[in-house]
Order: sequence, then C-alpha cells, then structure tokens
Amino acid sequence: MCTTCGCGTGHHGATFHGHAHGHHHDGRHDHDHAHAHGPRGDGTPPNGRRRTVLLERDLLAKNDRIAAENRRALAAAGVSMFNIIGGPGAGKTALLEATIGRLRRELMLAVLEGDQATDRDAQRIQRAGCRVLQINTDSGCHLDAAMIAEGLRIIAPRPSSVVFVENVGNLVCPALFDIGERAKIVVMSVTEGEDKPLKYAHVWSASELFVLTKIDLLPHVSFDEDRCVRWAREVNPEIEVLRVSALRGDGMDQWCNWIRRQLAT
Amino acid sequence: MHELSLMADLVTAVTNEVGDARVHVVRLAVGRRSGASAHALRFCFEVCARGTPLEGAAIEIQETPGDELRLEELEISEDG
Repeated sequence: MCTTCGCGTGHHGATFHGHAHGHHHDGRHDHDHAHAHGPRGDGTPPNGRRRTVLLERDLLAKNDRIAAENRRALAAAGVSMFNIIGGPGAGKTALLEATIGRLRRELMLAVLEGDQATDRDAQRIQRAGCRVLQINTDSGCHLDAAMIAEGLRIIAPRPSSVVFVENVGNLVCPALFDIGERAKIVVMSVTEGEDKPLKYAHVWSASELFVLTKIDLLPHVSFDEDRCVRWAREVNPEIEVLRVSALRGDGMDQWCNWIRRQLAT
Repeated sequence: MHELSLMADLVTAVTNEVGDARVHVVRLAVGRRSGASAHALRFCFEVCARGTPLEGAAIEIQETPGDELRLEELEISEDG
C-alpha cells in the first residue's frame, strides 16, 4: 500500500490549487506592463481591435479526454473499473471490505481509495486482503481522471482484474467527473434519509446501480425504503437497486452477482 | 469546489488559445442540470484569472435548462 497526493503527482493542470495562476503569472505580467495597458478595459480603443473568438468547448474537455484514455487502456487490458460514489459514512469502505472477503479468491481485485486526508481506508482495505492505493485530494472534493490515470499507473492492475474506485465522500462533485469507469455506483445508507435521490439527483441519474446499505438498521430508523427507491427511479428510471447489509451479509450475493454480470458483458 | 478545477482548466485552455491577446469577456453556457454553480464559477474564475491575461475579464454566464458546461466564446484584443 502506498499513498499519493492528488495534487503532487505532476498532473498539476488537472488538479486543484489554483495552478493556472502560478503557471501563467511569469512573463504575462511583464507583457501587460510593457504595453502599458493599465487596468483592464481602459487601454483598448472602442471597438478597435476587439474581436470575438468562437470556441464552443466543453469545460470538462480536458478531464473527459484523460477519462477516455483511461477507459481505452483499461479495456485493452480487460480491466473493469467501477466508480463508487456516496456521502461520508454511507458505508462504501465497509461494502468493499465485505466484497473483497467474498470475491478475492475468484477475481483479481484492486482498490483506489479517495479521501481528502489520511490512509485509514486504505489500511482497512489492505487488512481485508486487497491491493490498494490511497489518493489524498487535500482540498479537492472529488477524484478526477488525471488522478485516476496516475493511480492506475502506480497500482498497475493485472489484466482481467477489477478495480474499485472509492470516490471522496460527497454526493455532488464526483458525479460530474468521468474517470473512465465502466459504471458509476451510488451508495447510500438507510440512516441518511429517503429523499437523498431527489436532493442529489445528478449522481442518481449518472449511476447505473444504487446500493442501499446498512439495511440491518432498518428496524431502528424511520426510513421509507419504498419511497426512496421510487424517488431514485423518478430521477433515473433505468437504475438498478440493491439492498445490502455489509455487516450481516444481506444482499451481498446479489451485489457480487451484479459485478459478475458486468464482467460477463 | 469542483468549480475551481473547472476554472483553472478554462484559464489554461484560453491562454493556450489566444496567446498574448488580452481577454475582455469570457462567455459560458452553464446548464441548470450541469452540476456546477454559476455563482461558484464566477468566484473561482476571478481567483484563477489573477496574474494571467484573463485577469479583470468579465465572465458572462448564460444559464441553460440542460446539462451544458461550455466555453462559448471570448472577446479579445491583440496587443501592440
């Protein structure tokens, strides 16, 4: 197991800390002064040499390009990567621990763990018996395609293996960033409130599978399972739904079968 | 704050595109279902543009109903 920092991997342009500022400050600053424009706007003749440049470029173009490259490289090696997204405490790591226990003798597995800080989750995954790399994003709220490219380079998944990416605990930003995964899986626990699919619709509509976790706690919480699933399907009529308890084992067979089915197609 | 990484990438892309030209206006189309907030994009643009040819440029965001997240066009002027 090793730890990598999402912003220290040489992929600065794709990460978070206002790099563009640093990259372009030198030189440009002098240029502005040499031509004595003064503050923005006052040095330009009215309608003078101003022109419009049509770009029509997707803001996520750079991320999507790297994600496409990840997807291509993974497909060439027969590796299936799943992007697991959920709020902090949804039970993503516990689900992976239980999954590793069931599938490690059958499939070659590796895990990329995303968290703002610490390698605590990577330690848990390692104890469960799986190859794992911790990616710390520092201030970052999601894993992007460049971080995954770097993570895959380091962990070097074996041909025909399965890679689980546990995204940073967050129901908002990770939905936006393609990392080159085969499918996004949204994970939510019964302690979180059944209306989350409506409140965070973007991630439910981007996911192929919704795993409802901690169902062993259902007798102790006021959680309306049917409404939750109905709302998830309102947002995404195609989404598959599984109910699991990683602790007690309910639904784990169905979840493992879902993974097997994905590999078979 | 994924808006920060979006705007950092935008500043890099625009600088690559226009070189030394000064950028006066940046126009974006941002869908209501895009997952990005126009407010946060404006804030992050200012932060990312500082010290670049985009510093002080106006950012105009057209809100659309879909999931667009697109740099539409720039208004620039050549120096010299």
